[in-house]
Amino acid sequence: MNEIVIKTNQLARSYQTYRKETGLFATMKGLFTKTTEIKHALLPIDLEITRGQIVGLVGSNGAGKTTLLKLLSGLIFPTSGTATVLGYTPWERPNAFLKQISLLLGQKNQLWWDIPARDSFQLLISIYDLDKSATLKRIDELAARLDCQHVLKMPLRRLSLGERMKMELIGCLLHSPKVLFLDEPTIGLDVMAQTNIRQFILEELKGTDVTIILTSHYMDDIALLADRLLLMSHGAIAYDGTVDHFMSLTASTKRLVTDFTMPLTDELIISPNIKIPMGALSFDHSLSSAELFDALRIITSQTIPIRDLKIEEPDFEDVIRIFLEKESSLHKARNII
Amino acid sequence: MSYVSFLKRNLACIRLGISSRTTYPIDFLMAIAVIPICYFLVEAVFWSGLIKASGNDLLAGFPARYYLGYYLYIILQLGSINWRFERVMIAEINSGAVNALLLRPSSFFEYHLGQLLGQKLITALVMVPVVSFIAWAWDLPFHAQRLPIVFLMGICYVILLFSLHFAVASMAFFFDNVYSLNNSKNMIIWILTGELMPLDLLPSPIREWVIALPFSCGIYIPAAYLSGRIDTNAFMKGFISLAVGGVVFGLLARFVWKQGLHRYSGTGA
Repeated sequence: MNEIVIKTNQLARSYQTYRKETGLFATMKGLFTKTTEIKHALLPIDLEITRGQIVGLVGSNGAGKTTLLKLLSGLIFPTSGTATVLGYTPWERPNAFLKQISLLLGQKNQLWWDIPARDSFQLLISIYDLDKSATLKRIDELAARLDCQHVLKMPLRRLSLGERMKMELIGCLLHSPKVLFLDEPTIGLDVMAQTNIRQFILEELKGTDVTIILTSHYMDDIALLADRLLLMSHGAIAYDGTVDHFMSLTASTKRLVTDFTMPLTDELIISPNIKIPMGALSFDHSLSSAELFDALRIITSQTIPIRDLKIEEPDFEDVIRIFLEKESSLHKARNII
Repeated sequence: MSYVSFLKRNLACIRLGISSRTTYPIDFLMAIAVIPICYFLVEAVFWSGLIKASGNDLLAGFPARYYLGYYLYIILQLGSINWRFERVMIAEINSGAVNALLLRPSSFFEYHLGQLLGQKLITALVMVPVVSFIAWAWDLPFHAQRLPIVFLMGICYVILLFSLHFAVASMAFFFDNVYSLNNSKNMIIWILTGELMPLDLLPSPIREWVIALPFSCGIYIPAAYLSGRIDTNAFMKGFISLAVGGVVFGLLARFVWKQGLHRYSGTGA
């Protein structure tokens, strides 16, 4: 069923920021006058997300993804435009809305630092007015799934980052939210912990009625979990579609990795934009089919012996990077014009 | 709105206040026993010395033991009306820790007020016997039967003061640093509550004005009532100023908070 649970109409947000010149004089001057400037964190966007979708929100720092997340979760007010989440205007934050959403911030603790997670959960049971025995049972189930029963009674401050994140995840799911906002849920975790969290989300939440908006700098999170990819650049949506379709857009690009046995004695010009400087010991670049053909011809015909040469299909992370680089250069060009 | 839900979550916040206050037993004992007793001893030395130096047995009509009694009951008040909460609130707004609280079906106001009341409750329960014992041991004036009504005034005052703290803390939405503003407010309250000196030592008509303000219900009125400096009639007048002040500061807190949320940029998320 394609019921729309999140809908935005020309939703935008700008911030006023201060600019301060360096130096003591400027500091003294700043006591009396301030130079302000408006930063457009999110340009007007229209968006519809249906029930049960997992949407991966990707973009470089400052692209506007977290601003969009904050707006949809109701943390901040927009400068213009409207949005509804589960039929509510998020920034009005009525309790009926808050009881149906959850926000997990990978970089912030939301449970109480000084008390054991189980005590925090008891508090959440009261705050969300949940059935106590059923919720305690659910805590045990979730803890068993995440293999962290042994830390439930330890103060949060004593836990490792990975254990804390598991506790945060349980805390987020206690009230069975219909919309879940996950902001960098695996940031800073080791590979094992990342995999555990990812696998848990995949098994516990994917394919259910829970709608998830997920931001992450780890592209594995997005590639594995997201049904839909929203790529943001400079406050706007640069791509909206499936991960597979996105990969097919740049399928003609391949990555060429070459190691030389000694530094190059001359600069090699692959194309006007791609050059291997004199003295280079290696070359690693994503290239189009035409560029790849030229690169192979030029690299193999020069005099320095080649130690290793690989042609790789680009992974998701590379494709995103290439896409964002292109977007960024287009954005700069537009600004210059 | 379900009042049962409201009650449940506020009781949960009170429980959180009690458990977070007692999580670190040494810190708790220092805060409720060592620091207040040191504070009392400093005041005891100061006021005894002052009265002795004046060459009279009385100061403004009261003997030294009345001043000791006054400051003994102040420590009962101070133990619960601490200045930590608004600093926590300011830090939470500055750091973005407020985000988690904004997205839960519980207001920032009730979350912190509940904790503050929880802390007051546990502190008062522990300190009342200590204060009673010192009063008995030093033969200080002490009207023990007045404790329940004084405790009620303490709760009303905490709510009023918390509203003012909340309004000032909400200024953190507008300014990057509001600690100096907060300290200024606390300095003014320090004088207006009677912590610096009993308010009846102020010259008239300033004395009448200051006592009429709700801040006097924080220290002066309850401490003076327990030590017998004022009668029941003067004490009960304090509730009127508390009610008026509560409405004013409550509305102020609501206004600043609402405006602040419109400006908030979701720091840290």
